[in-house]
Amino acid sequence: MTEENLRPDGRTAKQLRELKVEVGVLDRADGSSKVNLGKNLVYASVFGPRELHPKHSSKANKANVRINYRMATFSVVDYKRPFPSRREKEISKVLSEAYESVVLTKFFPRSAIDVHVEIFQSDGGTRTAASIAITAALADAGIPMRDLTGGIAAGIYQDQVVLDLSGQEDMKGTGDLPLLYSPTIDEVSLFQLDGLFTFDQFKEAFETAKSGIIQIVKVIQDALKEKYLKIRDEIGISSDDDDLNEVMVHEDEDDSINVEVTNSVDTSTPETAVTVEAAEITTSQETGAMESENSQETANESATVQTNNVEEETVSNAWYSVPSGQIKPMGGKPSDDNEDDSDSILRDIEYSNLSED
Amino acid sequence: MTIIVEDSEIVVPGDLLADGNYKFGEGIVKRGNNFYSSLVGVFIIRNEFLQVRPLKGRYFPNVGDTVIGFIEDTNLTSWIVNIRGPYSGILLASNASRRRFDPIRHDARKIFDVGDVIKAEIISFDRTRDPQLATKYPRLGKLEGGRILETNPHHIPRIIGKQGSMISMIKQLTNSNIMVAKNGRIWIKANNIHDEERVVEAINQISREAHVSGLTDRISELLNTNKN
Repeated sequence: MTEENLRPDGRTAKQLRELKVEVGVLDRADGSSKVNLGKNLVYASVFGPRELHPKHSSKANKANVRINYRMATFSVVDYKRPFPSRREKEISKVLSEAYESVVLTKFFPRSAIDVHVEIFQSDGGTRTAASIAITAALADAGIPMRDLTGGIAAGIYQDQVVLDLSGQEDMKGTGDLPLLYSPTIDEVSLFQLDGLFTFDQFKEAFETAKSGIIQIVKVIQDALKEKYLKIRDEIGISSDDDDLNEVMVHEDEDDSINVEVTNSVDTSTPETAVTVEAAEITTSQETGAMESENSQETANESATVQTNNVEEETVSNAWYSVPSGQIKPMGGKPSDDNEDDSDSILRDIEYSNLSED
Repeated sequence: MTIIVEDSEIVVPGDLLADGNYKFGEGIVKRGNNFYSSLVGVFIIRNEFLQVRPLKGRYFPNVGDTVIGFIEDTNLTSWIVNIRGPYSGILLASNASRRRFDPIRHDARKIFDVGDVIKAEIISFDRTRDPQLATKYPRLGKLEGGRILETNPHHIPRIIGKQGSMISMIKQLTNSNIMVAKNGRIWIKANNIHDEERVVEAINQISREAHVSGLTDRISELLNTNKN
């Protein structure tokens, strides 16, 4: 680093690259987003919840979250071979598992939520840039989530802990710690570590990444609200009536079911060299998914995982349970009392008779 | 017992909405004594009842819903129907018509064939089985003529309006037949193509501005200005 303690691109140690998030950029996807993080350019699109094929991989009690991370052939210096590499498949897998803990998959049993992330331009930290895009696209698609998850890497560059490593710093640096973290629920959903960290460095890097993610989630929140507030401001709020509130209220709000919080998995795997003794991490997934080709030799990872203040979580069952009064016997005549508005106004329309010979 | 976010405000997942003792509906996760949003939507408080109304999302089937579906496949005595949800609908021959269906003498394809558009009701659905449809009740069956518009299923209540005020206004001003189904498909049949275009334009504007109040006035203004 130079004398003013600046990094190659002129940032200070704890400064993020410029982040821009946009949602609803693709017409044909249910939800989509575009993320610029420095020189990274990532598009994410969400399809679903939709029918799951192959059917045998469906789960009876929850949806499958399938994230497909891909890099364009022109996204790197020189050329990337077009077939999915081992690295891409691995990142797809760990991201899918990370997001299963954040998305409320219980609402959509036997179905699939497909996310496609395409890296168009890469400059270090594409998996965390991808996670920002995934979070924004999932929220844009109207998929219920426990919290907005942000992702960023912290690392060691010239013996100093820095936030958000660029491609150049990643290459020359001696440590990299990508983290996916949800600030409101205070849970880590993906934690990877590559390189050598002393315990103090690790603690500093972890906290630095967390504070970076808090900034990132703010940007995602603003992008999600921006899309709707822009239209509202264009029209100007008229306070004439409250026809926004016309919709019927569910009557069965009393019964609620418990969504169990997946508790932590202990993943202590102390190795040689420096050991991280006691980091307090609230986790919801197996955090030990290691990554990158050279991690086998150098990575020393150990996190004594603790679960602190995980409270009982409840969601309303209004989404997927049937109020018992509404069930009609097969072949019975539909009763007239639960006809909705849409039906009552359709009486005047002719219907073709079923033809039968 | 404090409400942190104002009524009708746009919220995102993870937003703290209120704490205390409230009843709550869709779009909300309760953790401890705090209520958090789980969706991008509009926060609604009605008589101590909290709800986040989603602004976007796919259709999720419910018993009693009237849906417009496309026949995707025919079997000997049943049809597979695309109802635009996470599960395909199943229409059994016994639920298709009031008359007795005998697979030896009757051909299922003569009743509904692949590509047909039907209006059906969901008569049974739970998390373990795919939704069962029926067309044998009054005002259900094959749709002929007109065109289908697909829109966000969460905007259907806005398209219908209070006691059908919005939809009856559109029908009156465009002189057309419109049928709105819960799964976000809308069947439009007007006298000429120009009127159909006006209906499509009105519905697209409703979709775009669904979260802003005073919608009926803006739509009537639109339909009155683009006459001919």
